[in-house]
Amino acid sequence: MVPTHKLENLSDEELMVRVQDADHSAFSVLVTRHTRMFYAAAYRMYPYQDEAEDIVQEAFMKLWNRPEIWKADKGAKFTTWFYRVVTNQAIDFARKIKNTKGSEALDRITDKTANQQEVMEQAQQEQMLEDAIQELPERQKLALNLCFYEGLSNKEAAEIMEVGVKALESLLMRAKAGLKDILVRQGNLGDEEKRGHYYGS
Amino acid sequence: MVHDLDKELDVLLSKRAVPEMRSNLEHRIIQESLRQEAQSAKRQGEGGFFAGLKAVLDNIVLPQPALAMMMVLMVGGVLGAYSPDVMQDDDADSFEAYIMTSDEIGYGDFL
Repeated sequence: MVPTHKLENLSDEELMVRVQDADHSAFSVLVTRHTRMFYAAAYRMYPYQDEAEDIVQEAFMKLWNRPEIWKADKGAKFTTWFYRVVTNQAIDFARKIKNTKGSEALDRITDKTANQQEVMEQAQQEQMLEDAIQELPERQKLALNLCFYEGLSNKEAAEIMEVGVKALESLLMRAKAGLKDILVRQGNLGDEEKRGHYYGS
Repeated sequence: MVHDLDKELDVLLSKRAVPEMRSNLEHRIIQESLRQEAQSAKRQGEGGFFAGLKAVLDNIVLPQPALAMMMVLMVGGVLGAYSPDVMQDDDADSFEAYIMTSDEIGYGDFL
């Protein structure tokens, strides 16, 4: 058995080969290395902390119970492939309970910061942006998240979404245009007066 | 104007934050995987005696029929030759004597 400190020097793909041989230490290294990053990805697809954590846990459990779903010979990077697993999991999850949460996210934020004007304004701004992003079609949202927030190259993002780079760029453009429309319509972009009114200042 | 909007949107997008994970998620995932592994091992061990027997039988490969038959005949022949009933015969005190045919058999013996 290879000591954990040596496993930490292995690449994700090498660790996955070990996970396929039921090496739990290799699995633990992968989990420790990537949980935070995939949690952020899940949260951006589905902005509820508990549920985002569950989504990541489910994705890793799938990996541990059925490691054969990772095909090393296809040449994809582990993270590229696992982004797809996590985002698909998040999309499935969101579809299942769509419309059951409503404005719960805003309630959670405002509850926490009820007496702190500044923090509350910031929370409202974040929530307004979050709501606008969540209004975007699924694939546009995913393109935006992968390229803007996960710091992936267009090529990597296109690979995750299983589309060509041109198609990804088009999705990205439409996402930004859609977002601008939503925010301008709400008066949260391009109109200082309205925005001041929205934030209550 | 459009350019300003783009800039403003980029600034807004960069403010989008992800809250910290509430729990020690890494630890939770690792513990859950260990729990599931233990559960699945337990389920496999729950088959009892018959499951064990089946596993053993599944691992036994039957030999070639011709080879098996030859082995059975050889073992049977040897056991037969050395069995006490045969060996204690007065006229046969060795294996050679047992397999030898007496020359003194005449026609009268069959009539």
